[in-house]
Amino acid sequence: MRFLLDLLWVILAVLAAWGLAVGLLLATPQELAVLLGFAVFMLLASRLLWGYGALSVFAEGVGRGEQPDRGQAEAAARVPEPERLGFAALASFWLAALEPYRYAFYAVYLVLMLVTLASKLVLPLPDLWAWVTGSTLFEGVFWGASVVALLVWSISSLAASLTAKAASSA
Amino acid sequence: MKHNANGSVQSVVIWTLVLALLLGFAIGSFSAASRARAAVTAAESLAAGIPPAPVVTSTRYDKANDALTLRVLNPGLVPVKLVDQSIIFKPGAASKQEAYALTAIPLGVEVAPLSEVEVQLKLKPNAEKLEVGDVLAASVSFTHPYSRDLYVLSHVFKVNEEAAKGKEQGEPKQPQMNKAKPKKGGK
Repeated sequence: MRFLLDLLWVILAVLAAWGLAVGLLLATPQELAVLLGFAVFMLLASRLLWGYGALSVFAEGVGRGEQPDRGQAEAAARVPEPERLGFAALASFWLAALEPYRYAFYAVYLVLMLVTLASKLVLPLPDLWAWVTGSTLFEGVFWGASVVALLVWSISSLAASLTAKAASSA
Repeated sequence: MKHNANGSVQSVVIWTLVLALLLGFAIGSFSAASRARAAVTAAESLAAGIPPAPVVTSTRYDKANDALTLRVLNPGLVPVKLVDQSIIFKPGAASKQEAYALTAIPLGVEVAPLSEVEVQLKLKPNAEKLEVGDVLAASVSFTHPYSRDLYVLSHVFKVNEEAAKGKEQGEPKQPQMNKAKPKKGGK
């Protein structure tokens, strides 16, 4: 039985590798630009995604009246004596500690958005179709980055609302 | 940018779903457009690699100018240059004109891709008007950018009653390209 399961996993991995390879071979340069923007902005946002994710789990536990593990929260909150803080206050300090990274992420994303929009201001008159279809690679990078920006916005809003809930329940 | 701390978890989830739908639509359109663009570019480069050959689509005897007018279509994607022309005249039973041949009369007409031009082949000056039963064999030599060779296009024009009056004689089958539709009424 275990052998069959392992075989299934191997088949699945081979099929996935095959699909990825074919997809990369058939992708247009614009699609590769989307992938590139997504990958690079995921690197830029990884601290935010993991941080807000852990904070959400922590704040949700606090809001339910539990007493979750404080270790990661105390390390991340960046206050002089975190062990003297209550659970809800610790969550609020943790949220505040992630703020500079969020600001930096949105700044880089906005610069990319400005570059993309500026590249759209020049009309390539002999080939208007290229402008309409957005064949520029900058736009592809922007769309890839937009997926990560949505993830960051979504998970940061989630963490903020769960922290506020934890503070009001305390 | 300030956190919307008053937003509930449910509203965050709903807004995320809405924005994700819009973003997915945008990225899908972007990807599909890039694919359509790549397909058009590939088709264009493929078609541009096919050497063109001019096609005579119709012929008309221009009585006033003593000339034969050929409509020449270039169905390819590269230009064709019509270099020179020759005409061989063979009289029919009704004609008083003797047979003659005019060769290597310079033409120098360039036919742009996917377009049609009219080429006038002058008949012999001071010759008799064409009569029913006469035959004209016109040949036009041309070049195209992919070779230094000279190619020849031959067209035989048999004069029937309508042709002698100057009516346009179309070829029976034509490629349907970017051409104006033939006017109704005339046959």
